[in-house]
Amino acid sequence: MAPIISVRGLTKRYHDVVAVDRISFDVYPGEILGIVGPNGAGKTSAVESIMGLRDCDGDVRVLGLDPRRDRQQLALRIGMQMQEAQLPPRLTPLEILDLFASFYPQTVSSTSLLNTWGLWDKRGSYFETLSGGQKQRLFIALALINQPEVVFLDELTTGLDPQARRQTWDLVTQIREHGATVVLVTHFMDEAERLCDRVGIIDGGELIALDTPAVLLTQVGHEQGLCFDAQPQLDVSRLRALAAVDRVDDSSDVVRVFGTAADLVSAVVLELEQQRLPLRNFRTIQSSLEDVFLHLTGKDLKD
Amino acid sequence: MRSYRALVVFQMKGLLREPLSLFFNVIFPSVLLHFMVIMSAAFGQADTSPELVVSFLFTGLLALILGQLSLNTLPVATSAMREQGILRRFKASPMALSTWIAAQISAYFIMALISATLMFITASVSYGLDPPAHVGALVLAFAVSAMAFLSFGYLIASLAKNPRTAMIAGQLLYLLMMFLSGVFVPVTSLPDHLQTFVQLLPMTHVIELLQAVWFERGWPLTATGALLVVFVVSGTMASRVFRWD
Repeated sequence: MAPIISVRGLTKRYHDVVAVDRISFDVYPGEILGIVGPNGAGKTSAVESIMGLRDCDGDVRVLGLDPRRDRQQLALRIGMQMQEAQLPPRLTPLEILDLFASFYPQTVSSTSLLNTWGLWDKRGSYFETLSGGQKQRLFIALALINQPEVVFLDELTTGLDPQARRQTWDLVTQIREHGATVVLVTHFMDEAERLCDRVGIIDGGELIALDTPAVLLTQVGHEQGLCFDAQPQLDVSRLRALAAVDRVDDSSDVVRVFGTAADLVSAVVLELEQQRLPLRNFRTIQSSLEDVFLHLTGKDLKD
Repeated sequence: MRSYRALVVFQMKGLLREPLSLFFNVIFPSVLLHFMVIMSAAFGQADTSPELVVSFLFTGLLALILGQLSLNTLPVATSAMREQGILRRFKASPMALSTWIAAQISAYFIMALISATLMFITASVSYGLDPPAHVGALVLAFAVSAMAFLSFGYLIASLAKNPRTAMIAGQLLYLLMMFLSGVFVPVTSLPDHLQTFVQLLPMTHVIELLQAVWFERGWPLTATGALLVVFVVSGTMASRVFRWD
């Protein structure tokens, strides 16, 4: 299958600072590609260059077009939700959709977009009075107004509460069901893991990994983990001495124990019982893309 | 054309839904006219007929309407939209910059016409001001003035880093022109050493043009030429340095 986006050696410099360093990848029709990495890794610089909103070096083709030369042609066929973009505070969702609809020859009707994205009841309210979730849904509706072939979503769920984030995830899946290819930029690893067919990890302007979440997770190895609430009476040294345990992290309120042995859980439970400690919030740790990031960079994403 | 019309309506809504803009651009000129008529009655000028005073003030305030819209409202509103990231969202659409600028200038001109009409009704009802002999010529002169002034305002909007600097730059130029360009005091009554300087202010030429047409002194070519130069130079510079974000 021919790629819908092809990026070769994309480099973005701001004066002396290299924000994006020779990135290359392809995006295929109908997939959801995630671009993840910590804040400031160069994710937004990369996608905004690909959309034609910033100058860059390298060879970029989106839908066969060069975003630097054919920006307006490209803008007709893609949709985008941008980080830190705003809409006029004293315009209603209906007015905003109708205004942007006037920029495209063919559009989805504003009425159906308002219905699909649950904004019909808010169609007459000023943008400034909408909640964070409603604003975000309006941005998505706006990104879809021209029935785009590719949709770019940049930090879609930042600033939303957990419930609104999960609702937004369903919306992203719906976009793909409508036939569009999605490029999703996020610093939430769980979001990428949950939604994306393939995930590219960017750190320090470089693309350090790109594969399906399942393949990326195998890189972390077969280490298992479990955790429980720390208690003052706990003797950590006896835990560390267990044959099944490779390492113990007791630097926070939650003690984390890791090991590759099959009897890790039973050995730890037995030891805690011998120390006569109750099991508070005892649970196993699933490897996540955050562990993959830690594994690849040696850095904790949350730092 | 469809996007141009939609953007004109969008800009009009922006002007009419913002209470401060509504007051200063629509209501304030009429209030100021009353105030200035009362002031000039209090400070003499007994040798001048009241009709002449009202006509003089009316044409001066027409220039002030353009000054307020172009130097205060437009630069602040535009750079505020840039700072908030609203222009970023528009940049991502296939709409062309020329459409955006043309629509904004058109909307502001419509706003100026509304304000001028309202002020004329006020002057007519309160002071019996008669319409000028050549209404068409006056509207044309007003349009030429508006194009020059709005382009100049666009240049400030394009150069300003943020709404604060836009406001300071716009206010300074506005006040300077209000006091020196002949809105309240004829330019000819200024001291000699200021005469050359005031010729550099666009508003001086706006007032010259509007009053020449109002008082049927013929179409002043120098003032028209000066305004066309302001229009072309600021328009070209503004479209070059304009930033969406």
